[in-house]
Amino acid sequence: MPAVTDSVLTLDGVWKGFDRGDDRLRVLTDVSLTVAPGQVVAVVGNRDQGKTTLLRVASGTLPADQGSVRVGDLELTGLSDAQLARVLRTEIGLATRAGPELRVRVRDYVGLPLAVGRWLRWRERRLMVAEVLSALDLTGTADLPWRELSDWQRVLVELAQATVARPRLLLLDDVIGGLGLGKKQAATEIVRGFADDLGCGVLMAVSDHAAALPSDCVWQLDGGRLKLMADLTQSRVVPLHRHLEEGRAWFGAS
Amino acid sequence: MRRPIQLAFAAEMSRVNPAELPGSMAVLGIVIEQPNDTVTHIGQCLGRRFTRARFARSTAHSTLPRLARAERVHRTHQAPGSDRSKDRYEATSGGLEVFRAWMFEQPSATPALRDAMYGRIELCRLEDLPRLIEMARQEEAISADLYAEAAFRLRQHTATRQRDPADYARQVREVLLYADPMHWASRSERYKVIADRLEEIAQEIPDLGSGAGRD
Repeated sequence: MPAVTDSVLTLDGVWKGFDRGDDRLRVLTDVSLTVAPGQVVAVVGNRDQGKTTLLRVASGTLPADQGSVRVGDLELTGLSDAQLARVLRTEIGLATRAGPELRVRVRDYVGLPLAVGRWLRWRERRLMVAEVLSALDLTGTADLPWRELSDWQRVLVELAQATVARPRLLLLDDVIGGLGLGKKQAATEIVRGFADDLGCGVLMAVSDHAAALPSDCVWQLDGGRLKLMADLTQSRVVPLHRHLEEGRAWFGAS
Repeated sequence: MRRPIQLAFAAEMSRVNPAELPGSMAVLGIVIEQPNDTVTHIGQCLGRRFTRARFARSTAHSTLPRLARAERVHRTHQAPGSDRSKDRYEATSGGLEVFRAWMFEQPSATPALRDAMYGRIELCRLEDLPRLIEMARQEEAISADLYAEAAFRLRQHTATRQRDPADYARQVREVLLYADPMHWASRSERYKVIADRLEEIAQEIPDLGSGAGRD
């Protein structure tokens, strides 16, 4: 019987690799992390460090070679496709930078997660889409095709689609990379707002630290391993003096 | 006749490390921003606006008379008695010019060619390599901790501030709050790269490889 947990996502000792000819390319090595409700957890890593693989494993769309992946108390490893599809529909919101086909209208794209496997009336769906578009100041773009949106609007639309069904877990795959610092700040604050207001847990993969903050927890993904950079859920301030003195001791007072 | 004044400034400025914020410039800047304010209030502003600079409580009290003697500021009100904390000052035109000269001097006019680690790597003997790797790892860890501290500061700020649109002063202040974690993250990354590469070199050297590095 699985342990009851307060986390919306728990990765425990996860390993993942891919066959490359005769070799096995190891992408994730003994990765463990948790995301609590209302918490924003960022994983920072350069290209090809395994961020997307990590998120796909976390969503259950890519099975781990070893280890446990739980959404709430539900172990994803070993679920059937139908069970997994249900978890994805009801529990997880996933945003990537892929976007839809260029002619798809914003309203239709955002409403996609509501269209499949839910007993929602057309009017209800339309209302939920209108609500999320309004919250992100996107009402004016509802009937525009994807190709006519700016980069910033595309980020917002991706976030709108990921949150329209009010998921418990939000997975963001480098959605805000490529934006300028000001827009990154604005985007991370919107994400922070999802966690605070909707109470969902957020795991976001980002390629630089400007996009990682303000989070509750920052991990660095390097060589397939996670290294904790900052756990801001602890009310802890590193004694600055100690480090500065330590630094001076190492380098000599010059 | 601006030239003689600028020459005097040049002599004065040459004593100041351009990469640092001297107390005199911070005090002068606040006096320019808030003319005719009391010494006590300027001291309070100094502590509040430049928390991390850790200026002494007495900085404003000791600096303002010195700036007055150098004709950078002049006293507009002398409080009765011997308590000088209620005195008020404003900047002179000379003070304004000194401040602006400091304000727009390139802070990294001298590139960091004398970086301490750079020198140590250059002068490192083979037998010193393991200890140098330890130092780089230590510096990586210190930078990572300072990253965590800067990230914590930003988190605290965003958690407590109001959600209304920021005014100019808050927007400018927030730039540093966001930039500081990036600085420490990149410094930590730099020392990680140095340590990783030095470890690789050490591994390739027989007899040294086993003792080098942290792991």
